Amino acid sequence: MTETLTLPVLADDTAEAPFAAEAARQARRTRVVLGAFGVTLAAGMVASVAVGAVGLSPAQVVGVLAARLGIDAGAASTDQQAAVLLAIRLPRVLLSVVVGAGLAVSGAVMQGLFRNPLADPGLVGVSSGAALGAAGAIVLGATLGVAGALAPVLVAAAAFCGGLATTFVVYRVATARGRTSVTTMLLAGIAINALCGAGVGVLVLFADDGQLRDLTFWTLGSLGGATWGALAIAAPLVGAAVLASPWLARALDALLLGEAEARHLGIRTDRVTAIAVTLSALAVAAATAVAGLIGFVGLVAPHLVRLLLGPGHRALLPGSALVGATLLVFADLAARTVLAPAEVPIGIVTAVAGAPFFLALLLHGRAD
Amino acid sequence: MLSLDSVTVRAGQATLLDALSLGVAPGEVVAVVGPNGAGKTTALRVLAGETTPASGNVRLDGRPLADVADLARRRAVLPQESGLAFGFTALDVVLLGRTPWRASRRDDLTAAARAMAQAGVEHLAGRRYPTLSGGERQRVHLARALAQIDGPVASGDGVPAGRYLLLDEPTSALDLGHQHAVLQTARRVASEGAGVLAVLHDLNLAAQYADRIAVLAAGRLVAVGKPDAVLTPTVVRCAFGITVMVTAHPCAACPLVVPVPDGLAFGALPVLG
Repeated sequence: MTETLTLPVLADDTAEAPFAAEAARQARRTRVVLGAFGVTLAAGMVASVAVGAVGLSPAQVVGVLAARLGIDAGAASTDQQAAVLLAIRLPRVLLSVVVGAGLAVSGAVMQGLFRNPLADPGLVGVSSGAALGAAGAIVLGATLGVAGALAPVLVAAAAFCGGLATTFVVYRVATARGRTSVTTMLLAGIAINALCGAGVGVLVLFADDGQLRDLTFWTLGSLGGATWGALAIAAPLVGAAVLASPWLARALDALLLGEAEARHLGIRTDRVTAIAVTLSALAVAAATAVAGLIGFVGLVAPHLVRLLLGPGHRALLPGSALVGATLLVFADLAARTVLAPAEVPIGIVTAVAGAPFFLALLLHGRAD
Repeated sequence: MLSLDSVTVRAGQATLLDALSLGVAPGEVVAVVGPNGAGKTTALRVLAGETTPASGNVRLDGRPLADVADLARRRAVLPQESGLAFGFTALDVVLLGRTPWRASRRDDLTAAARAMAQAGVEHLAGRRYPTLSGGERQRVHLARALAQIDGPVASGDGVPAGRYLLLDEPTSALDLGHQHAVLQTARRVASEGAGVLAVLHDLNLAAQYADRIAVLAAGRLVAVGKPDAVLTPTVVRCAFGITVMVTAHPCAACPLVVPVPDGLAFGALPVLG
């Protein structure tokens, strides 16, 4: 059998590799930009846990967290402040990070897979399936006798299962004789989305006023239900997708050339498609289950990163995770504070802030 | 040797390739010519592994393609056109050709630089791909294909394994100067040991740059061999249905095919060579 030899080409060690300066400059820029994203996220998280009906200074935030770890950081705070921070604010901010990162990375992966910067995980049916699941649980849950504390759990579980089930159907329809057609997946996704939309419509017909209100709020998204429990469910699923995604970077880069071209480059496109769809479906289904439908993050975050760092997935995927998390942390901060004590659904915030921003990007891009 | 062995490809009722046998060996340039719909691109797609034949075999050094290790390091494909909508730089696009290699960044950059010099696109390295003209894009993709097969792959007996470059109408988007530049690059790559198979429309480009020409019509091989043996008025009439004169090229050692205008008596002009 053949043996693989990877020999260095042009073995002159003293010669600087061509384009080395250009490549080094690009790598430095990537590090600086990713670092800046990280700092912005950290600042946003501290601001978000500090601001609210019970106020804390950033020093107090650090103090309470340090006290939990057994370190006396010096900044005194009341028991009430500590309780609000640990039981309410912290899980909520961490859930924003998890949901934002999951939606943004899934968006970036889907855009790579579909070779279209406008693609989002909704194309393969995960959002509409989750909506149908949630609507089913909200409208039929009472009939089945589920009420009280169990009701939100049922809605989340149904949304999660619905999202995964529709994605599975779309993926199976698009896979024939071991080969998955991305175009067929797109078309199947449109059909499944229509079907799920009709299903939600039927459920709406049977819903009473309270259920309609619940359903509306669910479709507009909210992180108000954030608990350590919700975080413990969503974080491992989203975290696995976010951490595994860089592994797909090289394949997704090659896929941007086209499916045939990626295969010529030795990429096993069917396997990559299966992994990419699975990862983003799990992440989006988990994020949607705990936070409802939240639009635009999966579209805006990767777009912003591409503008700054180019389309290469090695920088795009971690960059999208950071930017998506940051966007959602600030969106949730706005959702909690602009109409306080009332809370604006976060989907409204992301749409109101995201849509004009996106339009501005498009107009700016046209001018270049 | 990368070869089709009695390959038949069908699409519905139509037979695109009819028991076609054709191969390319390391070191040679093979041009595939023929009228539209003759099956040229289909033949290339079968060699590229994109199309699975209804019957017959595709082999690399006698082995079925599926059994060849390191296939992506040994065979690169330049498609007719690539729809790349994302803003990679030209250098990034060429570096995508290094995907099958697990080489160091430095080796990848070196291979990319060499490929870009060969394809004459070094000066485009920092340009964004969407801002390039059609001809520039085609040459950047040529550089990507060259970078893909740049590097030694050992075969079982210690001899470097043959590398192959498949070009699907590489000159169709290019002006006259760049058509010749691309085929000169192909010649140079062949002289360095790679086997090049190119689908071409222009018989004179094929005559000037190919070691062998394969003429296809209706999915079958009409003729294959050295340019002056294959490019005869009879073969061209049989494949393309037009009348041509074949003379000697005024300065290169190859035939020159000139279509004869309608109504002109075939014997009225002197046939050279």
